[in-house]
Amino acid sequence: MFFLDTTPNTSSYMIAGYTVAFVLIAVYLVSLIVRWRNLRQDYTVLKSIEAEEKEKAEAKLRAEEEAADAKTVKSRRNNARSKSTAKKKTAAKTAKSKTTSRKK
Amino acid sequence: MQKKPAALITLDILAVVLLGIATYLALVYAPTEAVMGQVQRVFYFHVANAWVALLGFVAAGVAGVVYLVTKDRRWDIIEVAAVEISLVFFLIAIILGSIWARPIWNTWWTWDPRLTTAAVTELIYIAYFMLREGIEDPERRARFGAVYTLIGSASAPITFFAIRLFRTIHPVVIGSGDPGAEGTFAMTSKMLVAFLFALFAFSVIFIDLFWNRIRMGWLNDKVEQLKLKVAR
Repeated sequence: MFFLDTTPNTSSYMIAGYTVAFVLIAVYLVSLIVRWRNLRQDYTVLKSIEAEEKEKAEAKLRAEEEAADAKTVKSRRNNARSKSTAKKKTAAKTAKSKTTSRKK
Repeated sequence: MQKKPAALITLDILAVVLLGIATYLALVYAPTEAVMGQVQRVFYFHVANAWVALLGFVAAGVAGVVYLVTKDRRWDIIEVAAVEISLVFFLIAIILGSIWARPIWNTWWTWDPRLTTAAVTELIYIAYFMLREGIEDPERRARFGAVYTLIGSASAPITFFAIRLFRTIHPVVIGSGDPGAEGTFAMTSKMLVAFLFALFAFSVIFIDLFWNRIRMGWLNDKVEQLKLKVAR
């Protein structure tokens, strides 16, 4: 290099260098954009799945609560019914005993 | 999911503009070096890329230390972002150096102290991602990664000072270097402007990419947490 009178033509190396630099930067930028998009898609899908599951869990809870309520209402009704039939039976018994005592 | 902040959008635009100006200064404004010719223009991007990459590796080491102290996952995300971007910039610096070396040293590669330490640094950080891929538990992965970057970050100053400490063929443009170095040149004022501007432009580009990459890391973290939540 020291004995050269004219500047050597090294333009092709310079062009190659800058091309490589810009291509690599571009590739990295594209990879960032693609990864970001994929993550955003995953995020929205997972969020919707989470919301669906939450809704399902809430609906299940509501159904369970409703079933439990219905059960308590039914048991109360049954209790009331059995009480009234017992009352009726005792009333009938007392009436029957009264009539037999009168006959005597 | 948060919208992209206006400051980051501004920084994106600024980074592109600065890259354009730095390219103009390197290719048009700076004079052609008399001995090496046009290939010397590679120097502006070569040094800027290497400088920013080495800073990123050191930043990753610092983030690793902070993670080990605080156990805050955000520092792990910052560490990964710094390593990834630095790895890309350092690869560009190595390739540009190799292209510059071909007409000046008459070889694409030589096992010179600077080139060797640079290659080792690049390989260390490629291995960092391989290590992370191999560990499933996020906490363990973050802890191992932090220790690894802490040790690995020592390679950055070794690479930087290699041309100042050892006998080398690689030129030292700033400060005195080995007299046997090939490709040394005295910078004119215009060259210095192009060089300093390239350093500044790449610093801004690094910050911009770093910020974007950290946001991506946070989104990735959210997605991972959602995946675990949905899988339960």
